[in-house]
Amino acid sequence: MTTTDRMPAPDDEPLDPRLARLARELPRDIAPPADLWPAVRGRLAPRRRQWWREPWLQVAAALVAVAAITLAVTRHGGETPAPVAAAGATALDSVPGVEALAPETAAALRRNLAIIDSALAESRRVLAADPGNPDVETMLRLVERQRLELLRQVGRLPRS
Amino acid sequence: MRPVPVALALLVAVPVPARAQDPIDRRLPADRDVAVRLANLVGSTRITGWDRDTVAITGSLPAGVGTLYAGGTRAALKIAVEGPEAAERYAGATLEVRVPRGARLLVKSTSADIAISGITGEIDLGSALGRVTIEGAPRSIVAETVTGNIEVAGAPASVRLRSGGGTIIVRGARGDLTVSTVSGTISVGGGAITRARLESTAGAIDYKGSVAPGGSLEVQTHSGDVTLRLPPATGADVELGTVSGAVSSEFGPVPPATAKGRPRRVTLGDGSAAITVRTFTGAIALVKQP
Repeated sequence: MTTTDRMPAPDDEPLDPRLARLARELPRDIAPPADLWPAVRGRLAPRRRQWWREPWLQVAAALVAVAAITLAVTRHGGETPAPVAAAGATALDSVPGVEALAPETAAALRRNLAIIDSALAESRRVLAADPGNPDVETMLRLVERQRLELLRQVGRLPRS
Repeated sequence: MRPVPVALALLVAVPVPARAQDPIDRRLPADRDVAVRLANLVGSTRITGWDRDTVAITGSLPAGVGTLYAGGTRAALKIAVEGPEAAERYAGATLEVRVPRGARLLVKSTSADIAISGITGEIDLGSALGRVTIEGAPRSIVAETVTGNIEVAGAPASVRLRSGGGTIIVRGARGDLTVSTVSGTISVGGGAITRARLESTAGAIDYKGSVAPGGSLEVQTHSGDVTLRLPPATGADVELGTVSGAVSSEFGPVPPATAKGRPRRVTLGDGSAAITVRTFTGAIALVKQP
């Protein structure tokens, strides 16, 4: 037996010739069973994420709901400030985390939201009568931006 | 009755008043540009920059209602008043914090007033109801409140301020400035800004200062009145747009709008800066500084 024929042993003693022959006869490649991969793939596949439980998506959904309420109220019921203010309070309540704010903070946010919604209703009313007026459109964008910022602020405020 | 048992009985019977305040005295090593995250929801917080590589916290905390946490690394520290009691149920902590001048601050409060001075790093703070005062020349300021007033004095290069109903006052403004309120008034003055945007829903806006050549000042409000107090030698291309507000100018007559919804245009001096004002019902006044 040459040195390349035998497997190295820890203590460098020659292998038993019978064992060496059996070892040489072993197959070089072993194919995995045909039904192995599906099981492995099942274990490797990422767990399906419950996307509707993502916190950012919940906040985004709340903001979309708020925007929808604003549009509905200011387009169709914006002539009277009282319903607008009520809608503002409802919109704020739908933002996640607002219930954890100090009562004074939530009350102040509602007051500001009511002011914004009144301005929004006024802008939309004038725009309906004078479509395309660039000054009114500019004001509308300003107030909408401020409304969005106010709702976003809820998420940045410390909880009491 | 023997005197010793009587004294012991009295000690047991008479309640010992708890300490009204727990004193605070902590010191932590810190890098020159340490990031400090501080939360003191109720009470007051004063942060001052100094020339030492140490963060020192002193002050007092009402006994039994909370604890002060202060810890972290030289590069990043957290300081927080923590306790089981709801924030509104105690008088709040009084914190005096000294930090390296270059520190970067992230400060939160509910109703605690916040005063910051002597910082050259970045400041980012938010308070719902507390008053905010910042002095000095930090690299940048971002401050936001719900109803708390915000006052900035100094010369920060970049300032972003926002409040719902609080008054915002900026003295010595220069560089890049953005100020926004819903119903609070805005008062900006004292410097030569290069780029400023001031906006409100219902709050009045008062600007006193100059606009650097090539700079811009943009003012928007729904129903707040706008007053721009400009130097007599101002050079600016001015656009004034309003739906139903009155317009007046001490710089000469303002021509009528060329078409409905189009802004009125006035050129002052060399017209090197750009000033734009838009309102819905708010009045616009251009006033010459004395």
